[in-house]
Amino acid sequence: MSTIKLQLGYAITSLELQNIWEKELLSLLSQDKHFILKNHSTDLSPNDDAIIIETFPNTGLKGFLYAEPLVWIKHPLKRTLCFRNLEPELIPWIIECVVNLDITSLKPWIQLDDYGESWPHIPIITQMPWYDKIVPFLTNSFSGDDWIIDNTILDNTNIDFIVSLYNKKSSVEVKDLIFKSKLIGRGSGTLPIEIKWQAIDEQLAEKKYLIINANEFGPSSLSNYFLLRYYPTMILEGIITTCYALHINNAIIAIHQDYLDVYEAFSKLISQAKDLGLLGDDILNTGNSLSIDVMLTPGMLITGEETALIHLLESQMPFPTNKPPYPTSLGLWGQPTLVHNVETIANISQIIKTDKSLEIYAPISKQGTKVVTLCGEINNYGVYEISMDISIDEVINKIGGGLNNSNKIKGFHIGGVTGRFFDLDNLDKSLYDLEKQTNYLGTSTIFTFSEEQCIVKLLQHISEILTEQSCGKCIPCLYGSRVWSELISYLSLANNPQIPHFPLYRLKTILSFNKLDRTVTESSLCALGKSLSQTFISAYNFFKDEIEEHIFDKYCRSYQCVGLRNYIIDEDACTGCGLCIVECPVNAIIEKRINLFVILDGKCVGCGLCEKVCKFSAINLKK
Amino acid sequence: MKINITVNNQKYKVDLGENLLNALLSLGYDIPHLCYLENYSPNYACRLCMVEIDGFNNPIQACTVDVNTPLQVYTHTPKLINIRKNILELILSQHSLECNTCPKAINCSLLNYAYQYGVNEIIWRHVITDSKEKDISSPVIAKNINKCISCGICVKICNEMMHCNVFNHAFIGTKKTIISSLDKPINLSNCYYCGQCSYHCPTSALYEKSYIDNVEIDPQNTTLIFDSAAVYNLMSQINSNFTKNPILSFNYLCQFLGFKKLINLGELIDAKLYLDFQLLKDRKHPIISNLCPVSIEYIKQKYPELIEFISPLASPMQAAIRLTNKSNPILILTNCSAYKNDIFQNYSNTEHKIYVANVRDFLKYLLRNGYTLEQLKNLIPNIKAKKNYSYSIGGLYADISMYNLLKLILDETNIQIDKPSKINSFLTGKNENKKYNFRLKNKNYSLISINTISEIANFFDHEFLKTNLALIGCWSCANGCINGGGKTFEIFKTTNKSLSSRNPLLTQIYNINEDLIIQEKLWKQEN
Repeated sequence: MSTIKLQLGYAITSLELQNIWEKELLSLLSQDKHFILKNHSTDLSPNDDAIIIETFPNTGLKGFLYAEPLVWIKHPLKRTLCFRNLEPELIPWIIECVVNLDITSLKPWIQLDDYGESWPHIPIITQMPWYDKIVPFLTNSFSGDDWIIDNTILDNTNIDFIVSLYNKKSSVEVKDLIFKSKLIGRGSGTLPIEIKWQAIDEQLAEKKYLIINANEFGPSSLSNYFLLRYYPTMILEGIITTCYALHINNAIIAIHQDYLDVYEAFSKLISQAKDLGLLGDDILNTGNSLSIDVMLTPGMLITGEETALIHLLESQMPFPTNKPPYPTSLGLWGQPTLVHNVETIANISQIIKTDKSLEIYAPISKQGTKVVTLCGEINNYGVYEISMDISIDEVINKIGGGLNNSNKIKGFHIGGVTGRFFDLDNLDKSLYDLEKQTNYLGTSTIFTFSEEQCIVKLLQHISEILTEQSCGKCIPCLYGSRVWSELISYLSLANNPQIPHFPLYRLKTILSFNKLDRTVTESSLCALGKSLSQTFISAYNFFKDEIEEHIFDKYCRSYQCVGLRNYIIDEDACTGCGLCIVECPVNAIIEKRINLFVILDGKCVGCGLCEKVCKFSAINLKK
Repeated sequence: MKINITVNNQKYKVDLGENLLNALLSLGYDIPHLCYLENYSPNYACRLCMVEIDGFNNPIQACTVDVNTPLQVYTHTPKLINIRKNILELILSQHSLECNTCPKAINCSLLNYAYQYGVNEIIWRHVITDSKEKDISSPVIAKNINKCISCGICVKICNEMMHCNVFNHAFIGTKKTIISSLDKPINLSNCYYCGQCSYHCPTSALYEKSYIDNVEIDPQNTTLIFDSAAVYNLMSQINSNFTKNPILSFNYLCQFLGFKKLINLGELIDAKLYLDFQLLKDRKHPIISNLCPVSIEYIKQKYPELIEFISPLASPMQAAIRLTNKSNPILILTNCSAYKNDIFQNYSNTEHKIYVANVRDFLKYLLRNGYTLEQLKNLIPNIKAKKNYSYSIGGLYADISMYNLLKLILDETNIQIDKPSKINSFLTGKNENKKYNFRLKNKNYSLISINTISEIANFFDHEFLKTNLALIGCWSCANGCINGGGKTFEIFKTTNKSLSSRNPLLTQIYNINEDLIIQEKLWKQEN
């Protein structure tokens, strides 16, 4: 056997998990004497009798959360093979198989369309339904060059870019390029960048701040983490570009405290850049100086509001303040401050880097790209970069691979906690259309749910999160959110023994929704309060029948709402043991006559304990 | 510079840059507000002060607008009334409705607004979070967080006005609350008990404890120590004529009620300052007169090296208690909550039986015992102002004592005054220029009066080292010491949350004094 050189790459979105996984893999590979691990930075003399393995961490397909850990292996003569959901224990065996060119017992996921001989019976990446739906503008493309780029390490291309930015481009040129691209803020504000940039450029203060809001909040939002995790160099370049264009000397990256692994990686990267002389005082002898601080901040929904984030960084309560004055004139520590979303910064760096592709990929509304998190009851959940004008149907079916258990889709929800619900009629619309329709995109998380889900249950979940996240600065939002959450919970409740005259009270409360919506929307301080009731309104628009069934008929189509379940006793099956009477927590079961048990509808809270306890299956859900 | 504004189609002129809510309130418009504090940055939490301004699409809170351009303002359109009503309903939906036993009871602005705006029914009533325990650890100020409406006014006062940093916001969402010093009970925090928070709290989430509600007082045996500020506040509520000479009319009142032994704390303050000045003559260093318990406590904690400069004499309250008989109970009528705390700290374990009452508690006591305000009003003869009146109200407003001392010194020593107006600077109620330098027996003296904790900190940080031979009086509360910035309790009215400059009771004092000064001058010229 002669020497053979293999390339092996992998990507796991959670950096912490990847480190554990990597350690295990390397120890496994180093135990085997056949393998010689060759890091691409160090050179080892080739042994005649061995397999030399070059490892490429953070490479290959990224953001395919459902398929992780994703591993790719390149035989020098063959096309790259990609494996999904791979445990490290299998890798030595897989390597052996690949070296022996016998992969009949392996089940690779796909093979790449690169040079070399193709493997038989293995699908090619170009045949995958998602291949042309995912648009790489910020992210790496699936071709051979991009495949092995690790963006978490500062390499020569990054350094060259920064050096050429300082030496060859003037700040006016950079500004012009950005203005020409008509970039729109990728946060939930959707404000054209031009407005903010011009506002801060007019300020004469010596000290200005740039804050990167990487404090994304959302139970299912990962798009910021994805960018921070795989493309930190791009964000660094974006920060340097922005600061250079606007003469800002201080930048702060506010990272969510749960993203500790990313925080550490970023800190390392920044100190590395400092050692290279790309940060600090008098960079590359051009007289520019820039310092970047990385800060951990508690993840809160309210920090999406820039003034609240600024207060948090000043170690005050995260309360938003009235605008004007805008942060661009009076921000952090009283200095002009520019607050940008992570994705915006990534876009800025990419626009400057690739002036040629500006016309094709520049995020001019319809043409732009957006990093979205696909979640919910979907097969291929993950983080993907999609074009703004691809229809949601294609996103869900082509990229997402349809719903779990081939369930039928009922609707989808876009934009995180303060987002909007949509029904199936909107499936053929694109993100761009939906943004035009609602003026809101939020975190652009696409959450799908099947017909088994109850819309009220989803609303209840969202309203609970909102109540927890209302900052408490202004009274309408603080109290409004609590009332709102209570009101939604009444939708799925037929009886409540603690409240007298509950049915009447319930109806009165629910029907006062308009009033509550008006109050909160008109009088809240920031966007959180103003969009508090939007989720309900959008759900009511599209799922009117279902919600009204809950309100008036006290009926839940999918039997998800515990409070609306009705149980009946099958007289024939009932033996009259009376166990259910003992178990019922609200005394809703009575013995009407001897051996005839009845459930009182007015008292039953639908907990289902009697159904569980009945040994003769006499108690059943009424459908 | 003045600027034109139109309010509900009426034209007015207001100062350039004035806060719109402030301007509207001073023009007499009744704009509901729960979280606004004059002269401090707006809180904009309650959102009740919404007004409609031409050129803005949506209603905007008046407290966030500064009048820099001519404005067209509408204060009570149907839309605004609706919004306010709804917000009040929202507040009441989570507010503990124990109005019967509420210490704020008939002075509650929230209750009044709810009445004004016709909140008949609270639809969203059942959303009550678990009721939390009251914090009654401190002898003076109690916290009942169930009544808190998160307006943030206590935080603003504690941090911006008093610089004590006791109260702060904590948590978000359903847990949102106000805590004292890292969630410690108030008595373990560094609170100086200035009482500003409990006075300004729109509900009774923070309130001053009352100690004479369950006590019956026998006037025959009780010694009554009164603060002339409190007396002024009390008499003005019975009849505004009594303010011409409150002390004398109070004497009549006490005669009627049966109190035999009275001690005027104001006179003791005057005397104390004079004694301190005598002490200063033998010294080479300045003396800080120990009058206000809050500021002395502040100095002791923040500047331990300055303790030796604090006057060694007893404080006026200690002196007053020394004058009493130990076997008799003592009733102290004062609005100052720091005095209250002082007494509890020093006399709770002694033989003395001391009750402290503020004006509201005392009035409650009178009403409970069958006296009516009408009855008391007719009882006291019509009193004319006394000529040496300005001496008798010493201590009414702490700076007046300074003024009195200065007058006394000038009378004793026959020093010629270059600028007669300058000695009146102690009475202007403004912080600047409360200083007078004079020369006596080849020595330079100065009298310095400092208001508010921030000014005190400023003075001792920067100017104290430069001064020599000065008598320094410190007062913690802004704009005067009637229980802090013109805090006056009015039993049948909702508390006026604005500061002393807009408090009619306090401005009256100044007006009277200015008249009296003129009277005195005329009197001197005649003789």
